[in-house]
Amino acid sequence: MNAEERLRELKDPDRWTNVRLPHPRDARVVTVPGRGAHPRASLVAAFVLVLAAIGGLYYGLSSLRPGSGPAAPSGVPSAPAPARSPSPTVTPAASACALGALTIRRDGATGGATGNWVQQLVVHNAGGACVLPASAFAVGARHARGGRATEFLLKAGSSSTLDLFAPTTCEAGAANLNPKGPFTSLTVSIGGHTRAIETFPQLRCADPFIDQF
Amino acid sequence: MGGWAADARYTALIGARGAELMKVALLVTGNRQDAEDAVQDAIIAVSAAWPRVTERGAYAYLRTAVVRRAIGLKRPPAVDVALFDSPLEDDAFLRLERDRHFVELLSALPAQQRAVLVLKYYADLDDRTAAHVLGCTVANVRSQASRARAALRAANETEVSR
Repeated sequence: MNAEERLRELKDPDRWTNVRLPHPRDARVVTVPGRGAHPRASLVAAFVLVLAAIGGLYYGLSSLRPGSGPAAPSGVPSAPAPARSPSPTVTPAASACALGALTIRRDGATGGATGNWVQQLVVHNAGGACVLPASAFAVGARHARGGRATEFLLKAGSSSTLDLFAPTTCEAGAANLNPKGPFTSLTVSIGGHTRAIETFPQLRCADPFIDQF
Repeated sequence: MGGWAADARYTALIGARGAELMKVALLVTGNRQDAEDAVQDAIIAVSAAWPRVTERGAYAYLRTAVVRRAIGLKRPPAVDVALFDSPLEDDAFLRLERDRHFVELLSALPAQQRAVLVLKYYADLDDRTAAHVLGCTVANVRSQASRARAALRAANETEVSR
């Protein structure tokens, strides 16, 4: 076999079929670098742990002061600590316009057995940035941490697939955002780090229901 | 969280040359999923460096990013879940059976050797440029190409003798 010849033959565009960049409606895999790939992340994590330890120490000491904090009546169990409890499924409105499915994959072999929280998903377009509310995306295992149903866990080396919907409101961000899109990028904030991802293809709402917004 | 938007010239470049990048990635990886990952990751990475990349050298820069990702791609066990009911589409990217067979043989080579062949004979890069893309020496490019050609010849002879 003459590899040179065979490869040169492939320059003929007629030999190819179905070559395209990923379609907007496909599940796109985007990669969020894990800690293994970014040594600085462990420094930041260590810093956060130190802050948390200082905060915990301060809180612990202050709660020892007489009269500080509400005393629970005897016999009444104290309220459970807000933790990683599964929240009820958040279902986007039936009329919401689907932007597409998106798979976020996290690189790296470290990050702990429980993974890190994906804290924010932000879409961008010419109107600015919009922090997506819980109703704008659906993900299989969503948890509530501190009452924030927008967060979900993503372990290192694993992935999570989301259904994205056109936001009808933003948790924070630009009021001028056109909910129809196109959204030129999406930012994931994970483990205290922000990664800009997904520039192409543009996320665009193609559902007629969007006209009601 | 800083605002960030794709540059219009960058968007235009991807629109014009994206398919070509996909072809290079398809030949190096041998499958659509890995090729799409390589191209997409490269597009995202280069977009971050875009202000520093001159328009003139942008395609070469992108191609380097794609090839390096295509070589280094190690796909983790698939855990993706299809949430949209989309029909499975034809994954083939070459029309002719003989071309598909050739890419299969190519896929059996080590990644670096595949990339060398694709860069030299499909992308028409000289040894020096191919070495730059792969981050290795010119001598290494030549020896890899020689080994790859020999391996393909041997694979072909084995098939013919069967």
